[in-house]
Amino acid sequence: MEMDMKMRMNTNAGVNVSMSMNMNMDTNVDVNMNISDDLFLPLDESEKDSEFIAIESRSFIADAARRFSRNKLAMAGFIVLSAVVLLAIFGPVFSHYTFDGQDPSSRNSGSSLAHWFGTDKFGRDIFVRLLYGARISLMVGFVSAGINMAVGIAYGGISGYLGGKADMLMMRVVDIIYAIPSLLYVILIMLALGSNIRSILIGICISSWVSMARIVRSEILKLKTLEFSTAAFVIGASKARILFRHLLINALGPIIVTLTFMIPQAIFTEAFLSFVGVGISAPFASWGTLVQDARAFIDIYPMQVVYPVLAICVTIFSLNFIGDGLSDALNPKSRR
Amino acid sequence: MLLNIQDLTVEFTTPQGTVRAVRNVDYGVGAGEIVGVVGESGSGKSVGMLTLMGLLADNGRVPTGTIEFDGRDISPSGLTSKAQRRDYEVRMRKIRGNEIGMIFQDPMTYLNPILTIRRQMTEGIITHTRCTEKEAEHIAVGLLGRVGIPNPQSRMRQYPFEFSGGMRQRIIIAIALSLNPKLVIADEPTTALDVTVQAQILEMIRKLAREEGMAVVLITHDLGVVASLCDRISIMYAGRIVEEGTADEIFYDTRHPYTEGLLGSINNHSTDAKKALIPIPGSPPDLLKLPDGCAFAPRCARAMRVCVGHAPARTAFSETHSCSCWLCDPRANRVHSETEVTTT
Amino acid sequence: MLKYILKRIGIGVLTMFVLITVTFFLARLMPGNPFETDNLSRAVLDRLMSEYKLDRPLGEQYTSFLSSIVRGDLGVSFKKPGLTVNSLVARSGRYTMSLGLIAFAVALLLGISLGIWQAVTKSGVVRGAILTASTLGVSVPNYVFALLLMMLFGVKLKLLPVLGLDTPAHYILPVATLSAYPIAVMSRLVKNSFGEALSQEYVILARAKGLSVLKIRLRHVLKNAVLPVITTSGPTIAFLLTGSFVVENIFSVPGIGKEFVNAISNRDYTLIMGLSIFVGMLIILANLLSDIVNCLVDPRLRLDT
Repeated sequence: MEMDMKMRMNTNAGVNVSMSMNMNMDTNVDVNMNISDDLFLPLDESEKDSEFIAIESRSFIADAARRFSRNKLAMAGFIVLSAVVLLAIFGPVFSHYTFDGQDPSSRNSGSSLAHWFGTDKFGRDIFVRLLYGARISLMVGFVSAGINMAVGIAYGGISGYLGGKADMLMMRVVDIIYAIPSLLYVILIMLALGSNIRSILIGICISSWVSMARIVRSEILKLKTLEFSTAAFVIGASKARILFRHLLINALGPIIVTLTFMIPQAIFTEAFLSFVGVGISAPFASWGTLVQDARAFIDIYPMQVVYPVLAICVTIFSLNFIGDGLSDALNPKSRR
Repeated sequence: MLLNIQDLTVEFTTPQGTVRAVRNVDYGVGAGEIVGVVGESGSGKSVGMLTLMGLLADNGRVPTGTIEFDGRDISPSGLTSKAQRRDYEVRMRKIRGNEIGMIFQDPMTYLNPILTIRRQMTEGIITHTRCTEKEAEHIAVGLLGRVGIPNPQSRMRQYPFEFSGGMRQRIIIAIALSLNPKLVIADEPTTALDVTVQAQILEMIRKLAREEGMAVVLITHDLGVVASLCDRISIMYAGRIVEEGTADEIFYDTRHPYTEGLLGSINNHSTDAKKALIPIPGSPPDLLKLPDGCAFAPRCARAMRVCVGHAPARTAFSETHSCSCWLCDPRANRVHSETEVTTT
Repeated sequence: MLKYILKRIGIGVLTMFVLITVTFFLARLMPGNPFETDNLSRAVLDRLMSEYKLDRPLGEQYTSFLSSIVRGDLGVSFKKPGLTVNSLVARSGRYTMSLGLIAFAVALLLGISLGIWQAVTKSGVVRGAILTASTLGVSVPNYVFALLLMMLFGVKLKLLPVLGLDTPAHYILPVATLSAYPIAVMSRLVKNSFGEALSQEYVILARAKGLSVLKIRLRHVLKNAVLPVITTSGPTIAFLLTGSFVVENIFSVPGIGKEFVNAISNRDYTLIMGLSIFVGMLIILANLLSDIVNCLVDPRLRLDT
């Protein structure tokens, strides 16, 4: 502060030296004694900074990224999730085991150098099966979240933007889909269409897009009333342009946050289906089916349950931390 | 003096640093007086009053200052132990709503949306008087009638969202006045309202205060609002009182350039329609980086070199009129006349 | 208010209709004939088909299905002759109901109090502990949680019974499993809503009236803070009912969930249909109920038309 003041003084040629000596005097009790007459000369405009900007401005995204990266839990989640994704994509390439390769000579073996996490009752390498399971579980999570986002944004955006009767009708449909428990549909769909990834995706997506649609719609309704959308309309931006450029970009925060919470939801659902007995069928395995298969021998070989359980928990944990971190970072109210 | 504040400083701890919202303020209000406190947002006027009520946010601190109300010490500073804080809170609870009523700025957010007006009107009365629900309800109906709400009996059952902004503000006023407090603090009571309603509300506050002999502190950013209403006016800038005086002294014997600026930016329809509004250049100072000298200097057209490094002392012109500005220093005029300054 | 409730009931009825229709047609899509594994003769098969009206046109099957459900008849089991869905529900429903209601009460109580504690405490340790626990609660699938509890308390420590539902002690592990997720969700919700309500300006006005902090928190803050809890209680009940599929299986509770999973592994399609519709209706009713309670607590909703 003081430095700042002195520097400003020095730029002005006619500054009296006695003045900077008095600089430290903060109190106003007896300074009058030390003040020389020429201090009462008017101040040049250059010595003022009345229009300075008090808070440095940053773009919203940069600001959010900065706050996200400062959140230790969220960053840890991000790193762990990245590691899991990379392992799922590239891990199987470096292993000479396959997800269905059986080895009758070593069944239910414990951890060893050959089989890091041991083998299952058919002598299949559990580590490799976990990696393939990760592919299926993560794919279910990410793909369903992507479909949900696309459908939800389109539906909610259109509904909110149109408003009136169309909006009412579209929201009734959402209400109805929302009110029917999605897990029941999913089970029925799995039974009707067969136990494969496609049916799981259809089952999950058929109902879970509605929460995204609701969020997008309410954001759009909120933003529609703000001045800037009127302003955009006045300056001649087209309707579609207003909808997608202004409104959706502003609603990005809640959309991303909802998305990060949808992925664990989908992984949950997939695991639930495996448990109920309509999950991915053998020899393919998701994390859910790995747990389910090993459950029968939980007393004898508990580790066969523990590995997939850990994989599920760690992944969902990371996703939840990322989601929490994002919702803090993207919430303008928590901006500091 | 009903209220006597000495050397009050209020600070807030924020992630960016310490904000000094009120700085060494002395202030007093006599019984039955109607006074105004005027300043821009962030000038510390509301924070000062919230401190008096003991309603500071959690990050607020009061490093110095004594507050005396009706002969009792209610200073929020120097409360170090937990017992002291609890004792202070117990004392304040008896005063809040009972001896000091507060009218808030935004009638839309200060009423609880899911409680009936009856509940929100009577809870304070019951807390302080130990009367029954029925008696409190009777009092509340009378109050609603006095603040001009038609059919008070039936409207007691309604919720805030069923009232207009002006009506809600009347309810908030009724709550503040419900126990005939000795002092009413009105924090921008009309800012959120339509112009036509503003005058009615202000007149009502004045009338009720006079009838009951209540003292009123009217906090506003609008000099026009206080002009006709207040006995005395204080002008605040960046946490300090820069000029104080009776309404006449402030309007016709203006001393502080900031007060001049405020007067210049009043939209006065009646007197001089052709006169352009003169805005004060710049924006209020960053309370995190207050300059050593006068906080107004960066925006002041008549700032002098002394203003930058030295805080101005208070100069008294009469019993009631005082100003903190280097221009009031006798040397200012002398130097000015010697050097024939072009700036006005 | 009446209009709001009527509208909700209307949506509820419509939802039930959609549920029944979807269930019916999905069941028709399911592969295979329910009797094909039973090695029955052609004549017996035909008799069974006509008895179960499977030889009629689809439209007729649908209308007769719909009308029997409206009459309260949820159908019969294909695999276990003589077993009706209604009798199954009557037999196993009370287990599921008692587990679900206890878990719901526990979730409300613990979820709300943990949320409030988290919102008002100044201790970073408490906040961090509850936050971690609640993140754990939403991150661990309930069957994983059930298996862990079973291994720890039942198998290793032998503290608690793990099979059946005979004594009050039998309830502890299933209820803990069922309520873990709702507790975590509700505590997060209440932490946010309570914190938000605490910072509202009506709290300042309430303090300016001279009310005590406790009174303000109970009357002004808590009432506003539980609004989102009421809204989520519908989905929570849905979660508890579907969660019973898992929990009842692991802890061998002869409830609706266990019957449902058995029906799935037997591919007993009519039983699956009947139970789906029953569970679905319970959930729709729970949603309706939470809407009505919400409307009673929040007067602003009564304006919504």
